[in-house]
Amino acid sequence: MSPPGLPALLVDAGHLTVHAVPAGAGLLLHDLNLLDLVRLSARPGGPLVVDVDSVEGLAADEAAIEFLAVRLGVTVVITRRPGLAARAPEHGCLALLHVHCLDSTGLDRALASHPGAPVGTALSPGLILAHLTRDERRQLPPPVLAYGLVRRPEERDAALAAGAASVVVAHS
Amino acid sequence: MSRRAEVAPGTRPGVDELVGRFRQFPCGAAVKANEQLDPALASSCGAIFVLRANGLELGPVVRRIHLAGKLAVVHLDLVDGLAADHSGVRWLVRCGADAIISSHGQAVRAIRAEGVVAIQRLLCVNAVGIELGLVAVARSQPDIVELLPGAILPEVADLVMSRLTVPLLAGGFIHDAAAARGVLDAGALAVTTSQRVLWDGPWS
Repeated sequence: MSPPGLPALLVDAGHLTVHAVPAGAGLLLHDLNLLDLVRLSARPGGPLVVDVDSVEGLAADEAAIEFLAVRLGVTVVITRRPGLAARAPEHGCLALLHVHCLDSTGLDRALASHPGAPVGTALSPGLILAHLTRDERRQLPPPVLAYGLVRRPEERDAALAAGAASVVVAHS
Repeated sequence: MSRRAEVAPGTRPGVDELVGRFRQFPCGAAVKANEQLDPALASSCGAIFVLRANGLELGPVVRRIHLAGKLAVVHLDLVDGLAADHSGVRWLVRCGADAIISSHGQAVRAIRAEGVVAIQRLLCVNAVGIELGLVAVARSQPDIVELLPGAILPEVADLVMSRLTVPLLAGGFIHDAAAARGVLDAGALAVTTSQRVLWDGPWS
């Protein structure tokens, strides 16, 4: 089950050309500038998730989190900064620590600084989740977002079966 | 400082030799701790990938690898004590490294300039990252590319393989023989792994 504010499906708004978000899905905003972020956040639709570190013009700090949550109604923030992730829930957001999962050494190092509950995990690339062992998956503080390179329906299903609460799918 | 006389007297083993080792057995042993070195030296792997070590005290490690008849591949970005710059590269070359890995294009160019095999890491975090990585690879022209996390190569081969003109290694979360075979079938020359179960064949 995915928690409130984090639907099982997130549509990637990477190219700023999202025309339709399926019912029940949310929108992931990343790799864009602050003005485009504000413009896209005003569109009607499901919950908004923002990859804070990738927004040009936005500092990765608490003022930014408060702005996203209070002014833009963002429900989930993603960041690679453990300290910021730990403080985000005070502003009413679910926070996910962004973990780059490239090899076991890097994963261990990233998880060593994970704040733990209530902060969850955004795992990149999302494709890798289905390749992890049960023990490796158990180390990931939930909820887990499979974030990156999931392009095919069977890859989305594999990520959900491997324990993802939510999966980012490429924009259509 | 070590010599590589045991591997190829008088010459630096180059790309052809490293590729040849992988054609004989498509696995490189990734060593992240001292206790992994002995099993790696006794394995079927023709190349040992030194990922975690003191880069300033690497000579004896490289010498042991060469005495075992294997090639030494050292990760410039991960070993302690060295900067990922031209001087760090020169140090590893003097230590006897046969190949050097880096994610940084500038370091890759320095590795090539020093005459050893240059391996550039292609970090597949997302589609943007793959695209930027491929552009960086085209610019720095490594001898070999290593894709991480290697386990996903079967799913991303359509994004990567047609853009590469050099051999590809795949490392990261390749846990068993079935996964390793899938990665080879997707186009990799070899896998790099710390999983000892894959260090001895036959599984390919």
